[in-house]
Amino acid sequence: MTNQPPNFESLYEAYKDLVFNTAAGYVQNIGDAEEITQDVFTDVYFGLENFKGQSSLKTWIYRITVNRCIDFLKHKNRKKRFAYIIGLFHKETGAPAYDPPDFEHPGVLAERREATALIFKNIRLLPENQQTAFILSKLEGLSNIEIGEIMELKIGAVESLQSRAKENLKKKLSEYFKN
Amino acid sequence: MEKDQRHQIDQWIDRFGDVQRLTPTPFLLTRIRQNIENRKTRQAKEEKLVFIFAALMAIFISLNIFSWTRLNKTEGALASIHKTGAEALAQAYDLKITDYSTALYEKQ
Repeated sequence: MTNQPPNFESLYEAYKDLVFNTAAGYVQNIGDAEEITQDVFTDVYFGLENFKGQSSLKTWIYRITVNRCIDFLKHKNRKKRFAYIIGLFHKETGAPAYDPPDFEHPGVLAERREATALIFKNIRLLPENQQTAFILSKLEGLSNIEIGEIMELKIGAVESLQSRAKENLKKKLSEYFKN
Repeated sequence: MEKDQRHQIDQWIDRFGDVQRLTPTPFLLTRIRQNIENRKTRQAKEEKLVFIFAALMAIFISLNIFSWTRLNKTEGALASIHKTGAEALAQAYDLKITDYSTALYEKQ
């Protein structure tokens, strides 16, 4: 590729894991995470010219990733609802219309696999912004200042989102214990 | 028991982040390049369409202006004929041009 900005490949090398892991945390599927990574770097390629440096490159790439993941999930949920409606008319199979499988994160130790899968499953049920705050903090290990920059929120708001996310997760997980 | 459960849940959440970082497939960069090329082609097509649309709009607007100008000229010519007729009538009945309409009405 001749018109490619000279630093695109180095940019990809530097940020591919960041994008891929964040996407994997959201969509909980390796294939989908790769698809999102593709889209994010395509956006980065075309957006690089207009990037004004108002935030750091890392923050900017994180922001694109988060937005792409949220869009992807919204699209998937729409499809899910549609599949559910279709499913109502195909009751003879008895199978649920659409139920994504639990995410078996390849990078989790065997003894914590069940717990991690359970948390991943419940993250899906959190509101969008709580999901973002939780994933960026827990999986990406970002500070609240960094999360605030990515989500364009004040630190107080980020802290509140994280604590609400934890509370909601705790409630969901305790229901699992009851059952 | 409940306290143990709560403690276990806390531990699960705290340790949730201790996962190994994943690496995407090495072929991903090739796919991204392909994606970029596809988007460039699509953008070029879109730009061409926009250009064609703009050209068509320009032609449409020019034609409109042309016919509007012609219409104005025709109206001007008609107005001039009308004025001449009015002047003649006004003269015949010894009226001011502004009284033409009234005169016409009375004549009828």
